[in-house]
Amino acid sequence: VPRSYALETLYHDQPPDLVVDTIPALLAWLPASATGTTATFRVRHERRPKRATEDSLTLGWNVSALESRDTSLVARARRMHDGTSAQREHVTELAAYALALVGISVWMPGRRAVGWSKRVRPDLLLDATSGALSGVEVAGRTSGGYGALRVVLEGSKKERGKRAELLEMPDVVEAHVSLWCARPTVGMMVQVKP
Amino acid sequence: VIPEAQRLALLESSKLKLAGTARLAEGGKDAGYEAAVLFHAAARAERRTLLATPDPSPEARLRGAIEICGCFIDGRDPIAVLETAWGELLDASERVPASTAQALRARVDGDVAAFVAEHRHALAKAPALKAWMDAGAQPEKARPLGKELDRLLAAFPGDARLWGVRSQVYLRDKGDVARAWEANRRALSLAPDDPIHRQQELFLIPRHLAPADAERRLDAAYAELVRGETNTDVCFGFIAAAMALARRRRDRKRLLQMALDAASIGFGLPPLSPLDRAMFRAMQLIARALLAGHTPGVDILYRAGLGLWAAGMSAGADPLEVLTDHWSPLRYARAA
Repeated sequence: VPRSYALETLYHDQPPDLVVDTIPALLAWLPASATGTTATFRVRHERRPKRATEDSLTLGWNVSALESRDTSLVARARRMHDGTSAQREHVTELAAYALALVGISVWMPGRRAVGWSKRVRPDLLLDATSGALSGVEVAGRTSGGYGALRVVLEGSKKERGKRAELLEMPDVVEAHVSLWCARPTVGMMVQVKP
Repeated sequence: VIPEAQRLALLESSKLKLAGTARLAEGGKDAGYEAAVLFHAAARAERRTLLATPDPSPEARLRGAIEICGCFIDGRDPIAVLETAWGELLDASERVPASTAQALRARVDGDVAAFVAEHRHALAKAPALKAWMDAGAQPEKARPLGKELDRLLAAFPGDARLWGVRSQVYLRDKGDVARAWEANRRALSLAPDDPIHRQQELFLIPRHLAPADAERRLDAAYAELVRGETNTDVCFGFIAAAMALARRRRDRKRLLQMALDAASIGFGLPPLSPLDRAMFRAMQLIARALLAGHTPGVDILYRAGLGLWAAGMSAGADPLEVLTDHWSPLRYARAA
């Protein structure tokens, strides 16, 4: 299913406080082929096991419109793009959050993130009711495509996957996983709970 | 639907954590310190989130403790992790089933272990600083520590106490008031509620700011004192500042009266060290002598019960300087 999303719309669809620091990272993280005004992702979307669809998401942006929300956007994106390898880890992290917020807006219309947990799953909270949380776990990879994202979701011999980790969270009643890769530009939006 | 106060506090902490992460992603000379300030503010907002949560579950309390601990790790503050955040996290873990604690702590345990190991490794490379802290952190013996402090601060720019010690060393080693002020400003930005840094700021005000600015700042501090929003550390800093400024201002009586009021307020506060009341008594006597147009002598220290400090001093020694030399070591020994 082809879909399109204007990045500046994210300021309306999600809390601006959660958006503004992720956009420069997203622009810095996207591959050179996408640094004009659009980038197209193939996104595997699973709401139920074995019922996946693959959508095409064309992400477009208007720098002037984005700068009206963050006047230092271009300079920040440039600093992030030109940074050291140690900094790149944070750029990937923030870019994945930007894309996860886009994913929520596109595939869960009407729902808004209410907070961000950095060290307890899920990362982006959709409902912070004590003992009955809903949220989206997020990760980004620079390369590796669907194969790398599948390892993040399901795990490997070395590390546990996000699906298993979310399933064992006793106070999480609804969980999704949002995974993104820059080369190639692919993503996954998977509901793992309930 | 969550209460508005909780929603706003959660959004604020989230915003600050994202801003801190973005600052690290941008890089640059002061990125580590500036990100640390944001993560420290995020930790305070996390506490407010928990306070605003109606009847939080044990799991919610543990989640909050984990996020606060994570903020201090990202904020490069080993003292905050070791002295408060990690202990609170362990305490909150006791109130949930072990399997739940294990699931919730899956990320943070490894991060804490790595961070503490990094800090121990860094301290091992700063033997003079460690020996100084073990010996009671006497500021006048901190002079050769500058290089070790700078190395540690490069690795842990979120350690407010280290910035406070750096400020002391700048002042005592080279008399560099401007750098002492800047280092203490960094400490205060990280830990605005720590009275040790407020005391040092007050002490530096008449030395760093123009007299009119200094007096304006002291007026604001005095208003806090008389409202009771203070403790003995802040009182000591205020008295030292007011008396120092009084030497340079025409309206010295007003400043000396404010110093006397602060000494009386401090005398009535719960002491933080055994000699606090004796020192406030001495300061009252010094202020009264100055207001009467006399030059206070070391006899005041005997009258206040601080004769051991006065012994060996010349009769013309400034009792306020003797007090200043003694209270800072007491404070920094406690902080270290």
